[in-house]
Amino acid sequence: MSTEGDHEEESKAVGPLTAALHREHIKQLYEKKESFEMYMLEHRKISGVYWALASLQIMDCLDDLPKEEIVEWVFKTYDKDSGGFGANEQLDPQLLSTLSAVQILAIYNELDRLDIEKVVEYIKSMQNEDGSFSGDQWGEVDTRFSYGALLCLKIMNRLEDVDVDKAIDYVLRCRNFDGGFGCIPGAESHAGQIFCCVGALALTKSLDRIDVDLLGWWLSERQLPCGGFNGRPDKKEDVCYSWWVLSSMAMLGKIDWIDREKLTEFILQCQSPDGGIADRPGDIPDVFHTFFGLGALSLMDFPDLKRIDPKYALVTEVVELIEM
Amino acid sequence: MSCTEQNGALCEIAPVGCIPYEKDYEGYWRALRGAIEREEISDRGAVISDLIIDYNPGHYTAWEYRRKWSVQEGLVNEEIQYAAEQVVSNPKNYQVWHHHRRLVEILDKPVDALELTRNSLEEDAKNYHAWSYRQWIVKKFDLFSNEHEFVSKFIDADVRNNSAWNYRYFLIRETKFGPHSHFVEEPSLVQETSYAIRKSRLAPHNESPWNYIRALTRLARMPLVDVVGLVDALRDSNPQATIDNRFAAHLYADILAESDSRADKEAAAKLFQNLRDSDPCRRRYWDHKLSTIQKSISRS
Repeated sequence: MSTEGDHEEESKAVGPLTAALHREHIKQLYEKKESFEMYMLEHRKISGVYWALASLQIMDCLDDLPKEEIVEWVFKTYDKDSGGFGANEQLDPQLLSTLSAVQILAIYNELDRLDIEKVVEYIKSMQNEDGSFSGDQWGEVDTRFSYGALLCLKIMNRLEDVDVDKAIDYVLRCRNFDGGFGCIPGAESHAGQIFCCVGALALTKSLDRIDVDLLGWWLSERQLPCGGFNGRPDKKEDVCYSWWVLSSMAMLGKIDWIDREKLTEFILQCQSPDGGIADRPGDIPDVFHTFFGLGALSLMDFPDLKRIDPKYALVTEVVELIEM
Repeated sequence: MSCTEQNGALCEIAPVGCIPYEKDYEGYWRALRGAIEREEISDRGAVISDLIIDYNPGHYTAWEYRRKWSVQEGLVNEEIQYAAEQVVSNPKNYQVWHHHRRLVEILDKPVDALELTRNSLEEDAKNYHAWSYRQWIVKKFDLFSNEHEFVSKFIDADVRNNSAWNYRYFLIRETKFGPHSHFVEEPSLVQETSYAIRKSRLAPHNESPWNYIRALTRLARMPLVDVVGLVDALRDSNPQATIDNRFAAHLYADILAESDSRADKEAAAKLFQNLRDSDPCRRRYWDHKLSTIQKSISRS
């Protein structure tokens, strides 16, 4: 029999989405500034803020957090010499932090506060000879950074400022024998990396260059009997894969190839009674899993949630403003 | 270094008027920031960066400080040992692996990378960082000679280890089809597909060997039906009992669907119907396969 993390069918009734509790959980996380846990998240704080705001926006309560204070703080992470943003004040600039900064400003419709030329210059400087992108000035290469760079530029409507053809050629070199994508050429297919590569291809209208059916099937096989998704064969389920897998399938037009009801049930079971969503039922929640759980529910048209665009990981009304 | 010495170092580095904290993360970070602002790359700074990393191994600015310091002091070999220790403590952290790799790039030697990844995989046979780092090391320094044996041990230990199967494919592609093909005795495609078929018998409901076989045939531009022993193995896997061997049944159905014979295509349709009935989770996918085969039947 399968060892795919089989679960007995959950006999308890699945409750509703406890949105009010999640709002409260996010507010408390934001207000709890001087705690040990917050220091531990320091190296990716700006992404944490993006996940928090994106979650609130999906639940249509963006005003729960103080906009001006946050936007001011975002610019404290800005390094005007390079044009990049760091994960927190006085941390070195990084590409993914820069993406989070730009996403936050897009959420707040404050993109014109950016020195766009400078940020574009930063992202351009991260592209390597082979088309790949580095995450920072020290050179780590990963397809996450290809997606981060292209999305950041797309939000600022400056996609053509990098060599898009080479960027896509590099992403395609990371395509594997099973139809999936890894972090570098040859690395194992992994749902998180697949989301980044499919996102990069979708943003540049290059999805026709891959075998959509093969990848769609691989992604559908991530759904386990418990309803949740894993990230690669024979691994455990985790709520974050609900997002990585489902948004990839949405971009490929294959979102129907999984059981929505079972996934919905699984995500709802991962809600903490104190608010927030965890990786698995009964575990401790965090803002990362809260966003990905809500994002996946939004993709499945869960009632009373705003629709999210899978390519941008931003709600559609923000994307409409960008694409105008 | 004792706590007192560390605090002494903090007192010297921290800005005037700042109260030193004992084992306080915020104090360490303030001290390191001070050093960075003064462009001071020193042993004291290295001590502080170690304290920060102890609390928070994701602190990429502390890691970069250490890289600059170890290069300046000519201590890159020692720093690689430090990086290896941090990998053992934090095996799923991007920054620790990246630190080791950057130092290997600086030295332009593999150093202990093979041993490091082997030890890491012995702890966690699916560690994504370990496998992808090992791929990079083996390719960069042409260290393919024992890798076939290495990966076989992991597949023997757990036939469902998808990371190991992925690594095996990487080896085949690089050594049979890539620029390193003169380094290693080429395991032939027949041997590899037989191997995968043998392994699949241990756990028919296992994606990895079936994906591997499909991939090998694409690499060799060979039709699936020509793989020696594959059709028999699939038939033996009892494809009608699709609950227990969905992947084998899918592959068998795909082979039948490729045939010119109408009878084979109809058998494929039956299998897809069976799969749809036994795997309702993915029923829309199986509907897609069914409609494709129905179109093919009506054309034949």
